[in-house]
Amino acid sequence: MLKFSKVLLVNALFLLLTAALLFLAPFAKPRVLQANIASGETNTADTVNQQIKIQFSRPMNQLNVEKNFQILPTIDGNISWANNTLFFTAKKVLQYHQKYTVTINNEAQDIYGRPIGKNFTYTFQTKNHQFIYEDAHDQLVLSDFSHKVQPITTDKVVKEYQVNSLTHTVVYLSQPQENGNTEIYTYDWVTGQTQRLLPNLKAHLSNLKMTGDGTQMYFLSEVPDPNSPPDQNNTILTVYRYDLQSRKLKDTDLLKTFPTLVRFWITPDGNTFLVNDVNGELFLRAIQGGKSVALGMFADYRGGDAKGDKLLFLDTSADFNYVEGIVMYDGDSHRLTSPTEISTNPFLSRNGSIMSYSYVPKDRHETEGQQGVRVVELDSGPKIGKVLFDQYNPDVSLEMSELSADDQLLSVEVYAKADLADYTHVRKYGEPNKPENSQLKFFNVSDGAELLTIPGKELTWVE
Amino acid sequence: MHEHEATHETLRLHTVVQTVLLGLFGSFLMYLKVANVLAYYVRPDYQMFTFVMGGVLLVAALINLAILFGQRHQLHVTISPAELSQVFLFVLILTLGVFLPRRSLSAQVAALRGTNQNLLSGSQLKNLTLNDNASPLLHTASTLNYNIADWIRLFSVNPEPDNYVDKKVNVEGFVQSNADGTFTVSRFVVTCCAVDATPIGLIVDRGLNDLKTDDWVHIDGKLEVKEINGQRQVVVEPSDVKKIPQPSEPYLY
Repeated sequence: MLKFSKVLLVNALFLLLTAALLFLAPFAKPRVLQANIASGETNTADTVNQQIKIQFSRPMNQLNVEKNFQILPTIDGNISWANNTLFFTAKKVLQYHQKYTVTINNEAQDIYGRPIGKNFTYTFQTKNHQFIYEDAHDQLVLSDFSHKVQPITTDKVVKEYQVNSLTHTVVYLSQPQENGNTEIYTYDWVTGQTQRLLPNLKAHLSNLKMTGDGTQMYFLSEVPDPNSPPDQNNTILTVYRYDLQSRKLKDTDLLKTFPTLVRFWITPDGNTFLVNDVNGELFLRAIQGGKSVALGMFADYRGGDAKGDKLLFLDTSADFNYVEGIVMYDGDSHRLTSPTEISTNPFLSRNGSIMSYSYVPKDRHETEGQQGVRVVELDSGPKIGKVLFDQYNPDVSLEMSELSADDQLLSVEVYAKADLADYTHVRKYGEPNKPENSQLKFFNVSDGAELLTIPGKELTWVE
Repeated sequence: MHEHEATHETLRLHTVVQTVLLGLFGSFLMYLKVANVLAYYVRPDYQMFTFVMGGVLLVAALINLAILFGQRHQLHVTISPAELSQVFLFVLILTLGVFLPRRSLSAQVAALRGTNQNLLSGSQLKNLTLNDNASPLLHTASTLNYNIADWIRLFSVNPEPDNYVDKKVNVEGFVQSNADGTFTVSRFVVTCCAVDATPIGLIVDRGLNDLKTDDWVHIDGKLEVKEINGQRQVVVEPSDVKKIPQPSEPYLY
């Protein structure tokens, strides 16, 4: 009997304790458990495309917290919730090199109406504009306008490279002199580590591509065909897929059934191959198998918006008297640029609303190949709208251009007129060797101001 | 002398019944695996474990029976009311297990546990965490191989609906009808077994038409944002809805 009552007593105590906790819970003050803060070092600083997340200790009165949320300087954005965490998603990318202050006012309440009691404030600093390019010694370099330079390669012959800002990774192909095989490397610019991938792969590699999420890498492999007659050096071309997360080769026979493959690209959403065949025709083909859709006689794919809804090609078709121009594909093809003005090298902004491209003025088609650069708004239609920036200088040629993620800055590859002689006439037919002495110029899009000139080429902005 | 001792070792009927029940339970678990319906109750990586444990129970019961009848016992046939109720309980469970139809959890259970708005957390998120910068990831990653759990995991670490606009959807699940005439394509996420199954789903912005609750469907389409009850929500704008048979593994993990 005594034992029994002891058990009862212990049970009763536990019950009381639970009841007390349940009763007291609503009286405990809610608080912020964590918010995302990153340090101010340039390479690890918060990127301009991230969300602000604030996790609370308990379920909050969402409308009330939203009223008590503030970010300075003010940015337009949406608030959404997952359980007890508030997310602020800016409509555009944040400004580069900007200090932001986020505050949750002390009146923000939980679902019981209890306020957090004191202001929660934190600040973060976004990174500078950063870019990767090939310097005068053909080495890859990460740099910014404060001239903080971080070498990526020091002694490699870089053939191609791709950048992914989300995974802070550069992948590049390098071709040593001693043999024809190609080496693949990754470089992480936060950790500063270089790693060679697939060291045992004996093939000639090209067409290096990365999906927009930075998880998959694709490249074209060319190996001698074992069934080739001895007098013909036939080769087999296939596309390989390498998983950058698991660091494993996943596919080695993609596009094998595409008999006349010359070059390929991946759409920004990672769903579709774009393939050029030997005749210069461009095809769309789902990566996970499926039929090829012929798009037309478009020479080249030149990127798209971040979602992959709008893709840009080069058009050299007879319809336009072979005057090279820019085509946008959004399910249908639309020639954007004039049928009489040579235009090329398009670059589409992240949200697909602004494009930069180079052009040869009409009156100079026959005589000279120097190009100017324009930045234009794209109106629905789609067609070219307002011109935001236009530069032409007959002494130099302004070639590949690229807009920074915030559309504020424009980088342009520049060649001196004297170096252009061989270059211009082969430019149309694939990938000519670019002149040696190239420079990179940086402009402010809004006022056209020239900011900086450095020797180098092949620039990619880092977000 | 020897015989006298033996007569004291009475074998109680209750012990025999208990042993037989143990063997039947073991056999039943093994049968569920063999009949390929264990997927309705436990997650795949626990199935072999369950099968082996069934085997262990069966072997233990057989050994026990062999020992019991190997010795010379006197069978003691009376059974107390307490023992009887215990046996009854086990027989009832076993009978229900054997005779109730073997099927996966239904839309009715999902409705009881609540589907819309359900997010996942903790170990249900697998390798995703709130600190993942999943937002830009979404802008570019191919989503055609995402199942409903993959989507809800993303919504749980990144709830902003605008991130998902125009993302391609290719999912399978069962139909739950919604009050506003649309329906939700749902699945259960199972961490261990059917008891902890959490219903999750994507709202499909279309009427039921010829679909009924609990029908299994394959849905192709894209995601859109729609305001429902004053809240911006991700919904599926379907381009194709096909009825399909229930998959052999109805739950997601």
